[in-house]
Amino acid sequence: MTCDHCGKQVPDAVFCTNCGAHQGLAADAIAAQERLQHFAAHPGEHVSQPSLFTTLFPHLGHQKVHEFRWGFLLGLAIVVVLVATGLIVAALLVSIFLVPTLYIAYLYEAQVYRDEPALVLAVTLVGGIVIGLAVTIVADRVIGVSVRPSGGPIVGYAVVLPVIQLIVMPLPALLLRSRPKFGETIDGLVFGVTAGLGFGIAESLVNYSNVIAGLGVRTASASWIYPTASIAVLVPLLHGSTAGAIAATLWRPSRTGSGRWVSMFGIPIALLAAIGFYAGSRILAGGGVAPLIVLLYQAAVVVIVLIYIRHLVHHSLMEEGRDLGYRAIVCPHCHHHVMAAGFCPSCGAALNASPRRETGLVPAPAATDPAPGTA
Amino acid sequence: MAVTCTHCGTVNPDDNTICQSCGMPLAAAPADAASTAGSRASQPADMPGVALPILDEPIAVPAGGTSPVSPASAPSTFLPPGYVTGTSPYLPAPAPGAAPLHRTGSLSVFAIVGVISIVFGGAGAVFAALRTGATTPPPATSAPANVPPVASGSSTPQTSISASSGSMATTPFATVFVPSGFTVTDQGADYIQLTPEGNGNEAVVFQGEPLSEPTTNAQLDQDLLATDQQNGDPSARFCSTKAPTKTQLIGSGGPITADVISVCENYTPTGGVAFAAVDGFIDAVARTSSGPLEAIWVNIFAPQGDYQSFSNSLPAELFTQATFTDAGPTS
Repeated sequence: MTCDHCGKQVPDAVFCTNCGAHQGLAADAIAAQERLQHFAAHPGEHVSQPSLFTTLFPHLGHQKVHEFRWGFLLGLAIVVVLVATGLIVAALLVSIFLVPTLYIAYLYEAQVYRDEPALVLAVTLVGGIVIGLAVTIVADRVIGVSVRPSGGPIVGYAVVLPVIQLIVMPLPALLLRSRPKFGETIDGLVFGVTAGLGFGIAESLVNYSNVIAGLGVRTASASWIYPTASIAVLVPLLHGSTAGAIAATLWRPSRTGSGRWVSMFGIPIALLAAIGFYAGSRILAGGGVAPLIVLLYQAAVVVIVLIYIRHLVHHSLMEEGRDLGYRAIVCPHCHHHVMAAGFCPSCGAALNASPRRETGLVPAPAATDPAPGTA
Repeated sequence: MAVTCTHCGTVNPDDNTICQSCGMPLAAAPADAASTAGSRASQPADMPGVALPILDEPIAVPAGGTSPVSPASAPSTFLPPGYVTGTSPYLPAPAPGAAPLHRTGSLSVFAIVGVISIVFGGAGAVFAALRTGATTPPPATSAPANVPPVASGSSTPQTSISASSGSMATTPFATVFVPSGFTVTDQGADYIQLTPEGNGNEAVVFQGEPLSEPTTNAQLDQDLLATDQQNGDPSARFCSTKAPTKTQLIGSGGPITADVISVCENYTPTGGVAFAAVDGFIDAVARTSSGPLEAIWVNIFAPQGDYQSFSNSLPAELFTQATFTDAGPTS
C-alpha cells in the first residue's frame, strides 16, 4: 500500500512502518502523522492522557506496565500500613527507596543502558545522589534559612533553590549524551529521570535525617501520611520528571517539524513547574489550607510536567523512528510477530521505545542459501 | 509446478504467493529487490530485532534521510526485500526457543517491592529499636495514657526511663531528653525547663502552647520578638548569634518544620543585675491530630558572652530524642 502521509509503498497495515502514520486519515495528512490519539510509546493511549508509568517508563510493553503499576500500588499500600501501625522510620525509608528501586528494575527490564549497565547507573543514579547530597547539604547548612521551607524569604526557597536544582539535576544524564549509542530523545528522558530520582533519594535522606535518627520505633501516626505520601510519590516524580524533561529537551537540539517547537517549551515548563510546586505549596500551607489539598495541588503540577513529556517524547519518536531498517520483531505492545521498521505495522508503537534487546524473535537462520535476487 | 519455500523448505502449490507453512513470501519482487540500494546504516546498531531470515541483503532506505516526505511527492518503495505487495506483514508465531519477550518474570516487580519493604522497612525498625532501646515513647495521639497529669508549676519531673547519657522526662506535651549534668528546674503543663547543674543563668526550655488563630512560622518569629520586647527589653532585636541548626522538630504526628532565630536583649532577673542575654529559639507551628494549631519551641537562654559556647555544648540528643506529643506538620 502507499502510505497516506509519507507516500511510500509499505506493507499493508493499519500503521505505516516507515513514518508511523495512522492510515485511513488521508484527508488530514498532518493529523494522520501526528496521530495524537495514539501515543507513540503506548498507542492505546492519547498523547495527553496523564499516565505515570507509560510516560516515565516508556519502554515497558502493555503487559509490563500493568505489573509495574500494581507493584507500585503494592509498595504504597505497604507504606500506608507501616504508617498506620506507627512504624514511621520504616515507612520513611521504604518511601524514599520505592520509586527509585522500581526504576532500576525498569532499566533492567528494558535494558535501556544496552551493554553498559555499570556506566549508566554510576553516572546517572549515583551521580544524582552525589549531586543531591551536595546541593541539599550546602543549601541547608551553608545558605541556611534563606532557602528553608519556612522562615526565610519565599524567593529563596521557591525560586533560587528550584533553579539550582534544575541546573544540576540533569547534568549526570547529559554526560552520556556524547555516547553515540545513546542518541535518541527517549534515552535522554530515561537517563534524566534516573538522575532526578537519585537526587530525590539524597534530598529526602538529608531532609529527614534527624527524624530517621531521632524517632522511636513506633510513633503516633496522626499526620505522617502526608509527608510520606510526598516522599513516596511527589518528590521523586517532581525531580524525575523535571530532570527528565530538561535532559530530553537538550538531548537532540536539531529536531525538525513539530518536535522542534514542542522542545522549545521543555525548560520553561520544568522551571515553572518546580517554582510553582514549591511556592504554591508554601503559600497554601501558610494559608491554613488542608494538607490533602496541598498534596492534590502538588500532584496537579507534576501531571502538567508529565503531559508535556508525553508530547515531547511522542513527537520525537515519530521523527526519530522514520526510515529505520526492517527486521522481524515481536512487538512488545501488541505482541504480534511482524515485519517492522521504525513502527509496528499492527499497533503503531514506535520501536525506539521497545526494550533494547532481541525479544521474541525467530531464531537466526542458518546462513546458507542467499535469498533470491540478492546474490 | 510446486514451489519450495526458501525459508522453511515447505512445498507449496504453484499458485501460492506466500508459504502456507511459515507465511514467508515465496518469490521476491524484482522491483523490491532492486530498490534495496540502501543499507542498515540508518538502523541503530542496538535496535532490537534481527533481520528477517530471508532478508540478508541491505534493505531499502529512501533518500531524504529523516525529512518528512510529502504525500504529493512521487511514491517510493519502502518494503522488506522479498515482500510481495498485498501480503500480510504478520509473521508466524516465533518458534519455540525464541528469546523471551520480557526479561523479568511476571511476579518479579512484586517480589522487588516486597524485598525493599523488608530490607528498608526492617532496617528502619531495627535501627530505631537499637538506637532508642527502651526509651521508645509509646504510640499515642494525645497525652500518653501512662503519664500522670502534671500540675502547672510542678517542680517534679516525671523522669521515666534512663538513657545512656541522660534520662527521658515525660510531660503532657512532650517527651524530652535530659542530658547528664542537667536538672529539671521548672515544669508546667506546657513547658519544661532544663538547667545545667550549678549554673542558673543558662537554660533550655521546651514549650508547647495552643494557638488561638492561624499563623505561620514567620509570624511566630515576630510574636516571639514582640514578647521579648514587651516583657523584657523594648530594644530587643533579632540578632545574628547562631543557634543549633535544627529546622525540624520531631512531633509524634510527624516532622515539624521549624525556624531558628535568636533575639538579643538586656535581661534583668528579678532582684538581680541586668545583663546582655540571648534567647535562641527553634520554633514552629504544628497541628494536633484533632485539627487546631499549636506553637512549639525550644528556647536556649544564656548570657550573651556565654551563649555560643553553651549552645555548642548541648548534646545532639536534646533535639533528636525530644518528641512533641500530638504535634505534627501543618501540611
